[in-house]
Amino acid sequence: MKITNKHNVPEPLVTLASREYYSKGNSQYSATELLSPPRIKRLREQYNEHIEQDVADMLWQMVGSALHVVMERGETPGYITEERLFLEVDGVTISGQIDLQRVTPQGIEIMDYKFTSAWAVMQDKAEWEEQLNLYAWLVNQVKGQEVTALRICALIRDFSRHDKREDYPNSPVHMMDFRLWPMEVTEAFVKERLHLHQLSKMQFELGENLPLCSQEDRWMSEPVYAVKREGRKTAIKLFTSIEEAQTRAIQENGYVETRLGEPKRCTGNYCGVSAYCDQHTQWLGEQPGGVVEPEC
Amino acid sequence: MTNIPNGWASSPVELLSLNVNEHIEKKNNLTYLSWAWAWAEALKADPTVNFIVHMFDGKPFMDVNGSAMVWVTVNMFSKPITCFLPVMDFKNQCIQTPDAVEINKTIMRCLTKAIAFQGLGLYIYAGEDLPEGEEKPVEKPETKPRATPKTSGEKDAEADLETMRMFVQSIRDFIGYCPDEPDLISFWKNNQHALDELKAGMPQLHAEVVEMFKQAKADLKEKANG
Repeated sequence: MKITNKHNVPEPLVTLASREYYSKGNSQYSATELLSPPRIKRLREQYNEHIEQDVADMLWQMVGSALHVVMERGETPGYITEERLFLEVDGVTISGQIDLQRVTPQGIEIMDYKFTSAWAVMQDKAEWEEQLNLYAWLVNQVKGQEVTALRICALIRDFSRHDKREDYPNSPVHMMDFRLWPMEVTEAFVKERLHLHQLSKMQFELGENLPLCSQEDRWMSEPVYAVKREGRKTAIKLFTSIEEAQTRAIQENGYVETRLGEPKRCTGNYCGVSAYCDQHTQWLGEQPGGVVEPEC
Repeated sequence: MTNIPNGWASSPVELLSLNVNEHIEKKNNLTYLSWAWAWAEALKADPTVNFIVHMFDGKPFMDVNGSAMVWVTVNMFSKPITCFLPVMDFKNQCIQTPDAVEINKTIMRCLTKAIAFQGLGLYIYAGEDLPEGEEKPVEKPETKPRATPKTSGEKDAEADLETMRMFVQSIRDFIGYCPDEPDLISFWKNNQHALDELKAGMPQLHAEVVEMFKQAKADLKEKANG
């Protein structure tokens, strides 16, 4: 990956951004890789040399890395920090690095730090639950210890004390509890993820189409229905239910405009490879007035 | 053969250099490498070595139209290698509905073979597998002095090349035994690590293997579609 410096930030920051803090040790798949969509992993490998990221867009990534480095120094009795566990699954070594483990007489509490937005902690974060359960399974299998709790310590970078929404976090450091799955469920989940990645690798090597990202993988937003009126540029109101929108449109003597869901991960290029993805290119072509400009 | 300190190998290259002739057994003019000795050597070389006998619907063999194929994976030096061996009689013919003893014998032979693919006694497999009745006599490894001694780097490269060629040959030999597409995928997955190494070290050979899989997959699809 090429690091660019479009905003002319100081060189030391560019150097920091270029440094590789992350290592999956002597394993073939890290927990993060297993949980990521196979299509993204394959495209990143294929186009690694072409992918560009500007240092200004890596700020929070760097802050996150810095936190992990600092955490390694914060030794506290009863806590294990930054431990990477390895396990062989179906002949493949997988690993996961756990930010924090609290050792109690009843078992281990697993915690993971996330630098994230207030909006993110107000959503259902299925991927966080999957990650924590994968860690729990590793702890159980490798260390033979019971896991008693799974928690995310969310460090909210855009926290505002003035936001009074009901589900808005009440502190910039927000603790979130997650459900612990039965170990056999997690084992089946891990093996399925591993199979999907191995299968996609084989498909890639044989020159076949890569498996498609799911709606969840693409962070597909729900469609919204805008009630509009002739002669007015902006919508009167947006609805998530078409029935409600139609009722309002009749009242307003207007009409309903459907705004289709958008794959936010792709359109925002949060995957880093949307320019090389034929699934995204096809989606763009299907949009009203969409233009297909394949880059690969 | 090279001299290994303490007589204990600690890498694939050293395993390749071990002379196993003192540990082969002759039976009915056939040559066998003792699985017990092979396993002991494997343990000495890598104490974390382990093996898996693959199960198919709860049975330790794959049914191939009434005959049986056993699959064993040996994971050594963090590299899993999977071998396959049909249950055969002394005429090198598949046994129809083999009994437990015949399956057990084949599993242990397959284990020895998988260890050989990790390097130990690989040279005795240069001809055939270990079918009863058809085994070629073991040829002594070359002991002629070379005119120009090779450097250890050159020897390592030669050993790697030979191992990769053997690996490709094993793929060529066994890919046809995959009865359906899921099985072919399983075959690929079990050898993924070795395939990655092949791609990095010998891209041309890797491309050959990819073509083999493409062809096999197309054939299996055609077969499935009647």
